[in-house]
Amino acid sequence: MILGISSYYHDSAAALVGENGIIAAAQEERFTRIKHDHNFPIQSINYCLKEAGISVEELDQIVFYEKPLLKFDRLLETYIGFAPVGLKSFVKAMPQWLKQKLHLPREIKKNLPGKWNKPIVFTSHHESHAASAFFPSPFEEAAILTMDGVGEWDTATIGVGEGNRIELLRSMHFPDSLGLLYSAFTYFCGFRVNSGEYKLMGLAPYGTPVFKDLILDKLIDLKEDGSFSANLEYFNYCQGLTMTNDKFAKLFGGPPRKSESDITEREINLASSVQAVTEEIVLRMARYARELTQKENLCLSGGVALNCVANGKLLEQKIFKEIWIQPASGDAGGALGCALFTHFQLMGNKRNSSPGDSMKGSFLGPKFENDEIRSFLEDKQIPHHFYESENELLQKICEYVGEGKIIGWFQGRMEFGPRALGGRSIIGDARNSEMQTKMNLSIKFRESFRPFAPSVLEEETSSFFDLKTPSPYMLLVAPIKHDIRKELSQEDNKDMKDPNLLKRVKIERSNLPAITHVDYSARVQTVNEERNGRYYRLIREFKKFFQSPVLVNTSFNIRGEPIVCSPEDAYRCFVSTDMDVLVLENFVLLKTEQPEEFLKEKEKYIASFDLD
Amino acid sequence: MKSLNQNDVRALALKILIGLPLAGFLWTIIFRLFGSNQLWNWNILIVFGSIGAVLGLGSLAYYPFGISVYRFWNQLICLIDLLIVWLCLPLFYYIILTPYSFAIRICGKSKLSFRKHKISSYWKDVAKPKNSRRYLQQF
Repeated sequence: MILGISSYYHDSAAALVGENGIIAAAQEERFTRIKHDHNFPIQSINYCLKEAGISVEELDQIVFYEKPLLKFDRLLETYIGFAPVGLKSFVKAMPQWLKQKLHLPREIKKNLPGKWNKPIVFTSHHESHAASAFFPSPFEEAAILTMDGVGEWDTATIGVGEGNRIELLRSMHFPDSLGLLYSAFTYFCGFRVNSGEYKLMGLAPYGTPVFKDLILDKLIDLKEDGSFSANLEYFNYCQGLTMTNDKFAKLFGGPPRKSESDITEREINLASSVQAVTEEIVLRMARYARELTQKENLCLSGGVALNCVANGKLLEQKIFKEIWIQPASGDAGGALGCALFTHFQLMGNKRNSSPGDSMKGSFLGPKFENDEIRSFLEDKQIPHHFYESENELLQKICEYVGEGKIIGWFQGRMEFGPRALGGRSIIGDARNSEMQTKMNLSIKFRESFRPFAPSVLEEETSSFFDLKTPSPYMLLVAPIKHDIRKELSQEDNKDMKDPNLLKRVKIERSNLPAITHVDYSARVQTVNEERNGRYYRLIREFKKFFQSPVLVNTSFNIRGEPIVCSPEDAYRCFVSTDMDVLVLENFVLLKTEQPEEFLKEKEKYIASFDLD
Repeated sequence: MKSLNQNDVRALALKILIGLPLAGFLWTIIFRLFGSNQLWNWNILIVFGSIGAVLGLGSLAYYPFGISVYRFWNQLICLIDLLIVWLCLPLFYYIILTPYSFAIRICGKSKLSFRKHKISSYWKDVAKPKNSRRYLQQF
């Protein structure tokens, strides 16, 4: 069995791969409750080993997801390129390198929960991404496109996968990076780099891409094949602690937006513009990948592959027959990729591509049995109802959802990757026009403009969305069908120009207002019984009750908090928000029945997480 | 900071109890060998040894005192660490790295300063790995 590790940058994770495929994978942040935790993933490793019932000594290989000395080389080259500028960044980065990152084998062996005397395997960062994209995919052969901020030197690669092997053919190098370009705008618009990129993507449809030409003209030199060179006169990410500089600010009419201040039309249009540029680059890269590899299918990974709007455009353009995107496309997925790479490519194990994929719905994390939950509830004397029969449980939950209640839904194994897919989700009725505002402001405590995603029965997808392919991992954005859209009134059109984004959000645009974004799009999750089990049966039951096979699905957490992992995490989040009902496997907890003393912890709970 | 336990405090107490007298003895030898009057100055050993004995034995005997010593010791280390970081790294940056950087740039060898522009593509060929041994290397 092979243990893959990613850590020491952000989103530390561990993954375990065996003879029969992926056994377990989890991000450290879920256990430590520190968002994007970069520390050694000891708890994730412990979980993976426990899931397989083995110890460290029984592992065949341990793999790290990137090559630290190559990364250090890039860092030094960068300082050499800019010295004497860059001291602050140098002083900030070096201590960790000198104490920890330059001695990774020692650090890994020291932190492992057991003895390991064999060598540690190191794959390259983009090899790990590419492996995580191709090996679990349903394709026997495919083109591979990876795009992220930066690994060692590579920022994007094109490769090819055949059977149990992958090969990288082309790469783009730092500082020319699509991920860093997007992050630069994320920073400039006042959001946190490496976590606020989703917000920028969600903000984009509110604006118009008025700065697109300016970006293409001044910031990058874009080629027909999607490769580009960044104009470093406008960026600060090589030598400084910020992403952009004064020249960048001058180009876009003023300093960066301060975090948590009002979002103006400028930020909205900047988001729209960089999104349009990103889509343009992704499409060109994909066309080049098709031409270079001559493969019909494409596998995507790397942080940029989480840009589901660009993914939707890529699908729409039909450059490839089919596309498969790794659900844990960020650095956490690197742990899985390096383990798979070792299993197939280095150890030569046979790979059988299956018609779905081998990600097991991305439900690769811990599961809690009813007995464990019962003992937690009884220990804490938490009032609850137990439903022996699944049918009764689902009927009751459907009733609550239909009444407009918001449900914390905790069942089965935890998801691996940033999306909640029905294992650790907050769900509600997509037909309810108040749902988006309520969920944003009193459940998630996040910005009002952010959209919510729908979960829809796979067989019903085409009745609501212009999407012809399954989207099990919520990584594709598709237009809402015209026949369920609503015409905007004159007053609505006036509200759409209002600087207050909440007014724009509140406009009813379709029969599913809670999940319809301002541009009539939705980030769809298609749900089937094989992959999603009870969650599928819940939506099917909901359809029987209310003739609607669509639910709102958002991650079970509040702003700045990692998605909940254990029943304790779920209960804490439940009592600290305006959620009405909590479902822990077969147990149902009602907010109205919870003891007062637990409900008083709200402020403390919210304050315990840094805003992202 | 990670939560403290009795073992951490005990381990540090032993280190201080043994380490400080040892450090004092080493300094005494150094002064004897390289000092101007070449005499044995036992005061250094006595001072270091006494501090070690008080802090070490005190920590072993009385746990709350041990916790205070542990915290003080860690803060002292952080302070020393900070001083080293802010003294040594800037010195290294300006005295060694910057002149080297200028030299590299004058020779046109800097990967970042002399990037090719206006070429038909920024994609680069990826070299095929020669053998799988490279996966045991960190570069």
